[in-house]
Amino acid sequence: MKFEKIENTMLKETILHGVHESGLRVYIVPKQGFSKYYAIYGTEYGSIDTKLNVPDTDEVIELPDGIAHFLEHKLFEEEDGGNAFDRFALTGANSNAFTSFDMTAYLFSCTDSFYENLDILIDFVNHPYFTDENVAKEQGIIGQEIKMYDDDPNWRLFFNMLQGMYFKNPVKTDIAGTVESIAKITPDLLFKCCDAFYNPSNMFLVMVGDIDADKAMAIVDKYVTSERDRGRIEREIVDEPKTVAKSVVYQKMSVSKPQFMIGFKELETDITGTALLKKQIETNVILSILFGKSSEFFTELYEAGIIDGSFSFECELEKKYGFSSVSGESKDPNEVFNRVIKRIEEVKSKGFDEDEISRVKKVLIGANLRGYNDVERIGNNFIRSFMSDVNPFEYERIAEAVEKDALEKRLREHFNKDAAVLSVIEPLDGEE
Amino acid sequence: MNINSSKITEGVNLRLLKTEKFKTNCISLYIHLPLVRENVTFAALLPRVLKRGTERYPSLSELSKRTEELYGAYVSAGIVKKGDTQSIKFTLQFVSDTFLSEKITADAVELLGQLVLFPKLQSGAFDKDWVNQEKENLKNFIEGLINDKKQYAQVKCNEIMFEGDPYGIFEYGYVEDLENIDEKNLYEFYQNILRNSVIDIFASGSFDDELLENEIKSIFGELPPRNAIYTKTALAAVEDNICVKNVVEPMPTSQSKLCIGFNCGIFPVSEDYYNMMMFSCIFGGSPFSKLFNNVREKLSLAYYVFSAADRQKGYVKISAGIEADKFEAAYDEIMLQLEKMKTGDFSDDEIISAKKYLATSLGSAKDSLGAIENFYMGQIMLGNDETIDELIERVSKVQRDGIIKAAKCVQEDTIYFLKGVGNGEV
Repeated sequence: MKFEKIENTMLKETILHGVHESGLRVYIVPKQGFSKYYAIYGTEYGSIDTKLNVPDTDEVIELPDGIAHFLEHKLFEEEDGGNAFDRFALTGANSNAFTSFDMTAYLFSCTDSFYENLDILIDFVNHPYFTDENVAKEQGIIGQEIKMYDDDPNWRLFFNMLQGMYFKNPVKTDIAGTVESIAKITPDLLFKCCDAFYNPSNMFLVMVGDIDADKAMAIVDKYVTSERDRGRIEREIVDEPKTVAKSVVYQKMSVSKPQFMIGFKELETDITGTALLKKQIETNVILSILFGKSSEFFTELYEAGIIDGSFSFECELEKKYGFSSVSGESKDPNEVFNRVIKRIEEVKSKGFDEDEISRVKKVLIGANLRGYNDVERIGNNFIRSFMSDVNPFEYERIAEAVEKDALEKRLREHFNKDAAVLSVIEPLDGEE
Repeated sequence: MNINSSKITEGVNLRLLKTEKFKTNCISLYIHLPLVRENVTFAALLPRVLKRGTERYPSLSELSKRTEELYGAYVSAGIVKKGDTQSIKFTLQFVSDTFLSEKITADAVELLGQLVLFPKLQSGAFDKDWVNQEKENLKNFIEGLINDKKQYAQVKCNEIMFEGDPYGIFEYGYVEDLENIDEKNLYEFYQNILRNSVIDIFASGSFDDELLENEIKSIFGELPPRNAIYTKTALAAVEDNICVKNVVEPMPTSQSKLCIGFNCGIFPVSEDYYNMMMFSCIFGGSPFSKLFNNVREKLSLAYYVFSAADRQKGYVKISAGIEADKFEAAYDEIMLQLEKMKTGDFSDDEIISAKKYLATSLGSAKDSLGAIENFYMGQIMLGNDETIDELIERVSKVQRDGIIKAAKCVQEDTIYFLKGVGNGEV
């Protein structure tokens, strides 16, 4: 397999990338001087994939909620009754996996025996072993995981916001599903999902560290073959309305003070590459200027005791869904909501200040550099970028080039009251 | 890794650690205080007030603008608890000059100096409004502990286990103590600790040592000398005729939380400690541990279950999220696995795995400036000059009988059960 090289002299970083004969996309980020090696092996398959078009047939299966996450847990299981964790244990690697809305990834970090660990990783992800018995056992463990999240106010706040925001987009469904939905999962369904979504053309491998490409690829060759190739699985375009399903969502839980999250729904999805990266950067610049710690907004609300140090903002703009949000604790979430909308309208009419833009650009450039301090962070950011055809080395160039006009246009497009949701977790009666 | 220590003045130390592989540098300043109830809330409130603004950057907005100009320098000020010590910690992380078209290291040191030495004052005291606002914020923060049930349960277990001991004090303070704090006595408290406590400045990253040292000395050189030493932590000693404390607290949550605290009284700088690390790793400190494999994988009783050994205090805690009606089953299984550790019922593979796992976790610390600093500050406070590699080496020499010995010195002290009643939603 041939690798191509991309370099960034400013960052002093390099990426080697290529496509394996099976269709698997492989990336190596050489890092010298670090103790750790990191590998992350992921498929573009997550909780939003609720339907399975069985490859090479006309069969369409409606999948139970939470199946991608369930599959992630189950892949660790092995024929002899052991699991991949035990194998990693013998080599000393730290292994883990996660399922998000749009991907499932398996990973390890180690300070020693990288190729041995890579062998375990590629092997177990390509060797599903599901039985009625091991599926039933997992239903108990994941049942506890779901309950843990049910008690987590931040998690509830977030999913309540998504449920308010979306009519149809499956991103509104909890990643782990429910105790009822996971009860419908069978070994047969898991095998079918594995065959389709875990086929090499749908998968990505990112390795970070002082890595020998030939040695790594010899391991890939052992387990990943073109016979498994079913082509990249395309996702349908969701016909999602531009408005929100519910503009306010409340829940009562055992918390000390109301928690709020205000979300703005992204109206344009299905974009990738540089256009997506540019949109992410512009949205971050806007959020920082509107709500950052140096803003009048923050000072006013903080000094008035309406928000506190827990106040934060973020944007998550991906191929199939997107939103930005501000969140925190407040005795008066409605007041925060009104002030957020007021702030947006004020800036829409008066425009952005050049000084503010250039300060925030510096912050983004600093944050981007900081991201290269950690091999795990590099791997996790990169695999997500590559799945969206984003070249992460373009970040600084695009951030530098952000312009006032584009920001003002983006502000008008994305930050609108009609596309906003206020999610609130309130204390139980008598607790406040 | 080599730490170059020097004195800025008596009781104020500068620790420099050079490493070239990161894109950022980190400078922290610690004011170390003994954990005592009279002071804990004052100390917890202080960093919140100090990071509101300084003489030169006299508002949150001015201060934030300054950090933004320094390429989003990350500034934090808060509390760290290590054994019986409560430290106020200021940290600045900023991009190394190598990656920028301008140099910002000296500016970062200046900013740290402003935060620590030049708070914004009003007629010889802190800003009254700021103090009042931050008292309210700290009150909300303390009350907000309940929002994270896992952490809440651990704090409660700790309070019960170490009642009457400094370590049982909650490092973020107490709501009822806030009413006696005002802008004047808080400022007096600050002046007092700034003059009399042990202070460490820890700088790591890639920089010109001499330049950085001069910069730091020119700003912090005005601190007066002091006769101060690190607080010695009283170990969680094994007691004769112990009566296990057992507390159940009902709460409207869907998952219940079980915490168990064990005394072991092991000296943090001793062979026994390396044994203890290995014991905890095999017992519940790894994804291949006995607790993970049995409580979770075999019996499906929990999603998370783990043990952790605290070096400074010499105790072990267990934490698990379970069903309310599975208390007996989970507790019995945990104790059964502990018994297996005591009787040596663990394999050579488990020993090998634990050594490798610890080598990876400890070795990984070398890849993070924060983790490096945390490790070496802990060592310095223990008066121990062992490096990360030396610690890995010592752990790799632990033998089976050492692990059994560690398991046998573990003594159950406290069981805390946060019992879920109802389904958590209303």
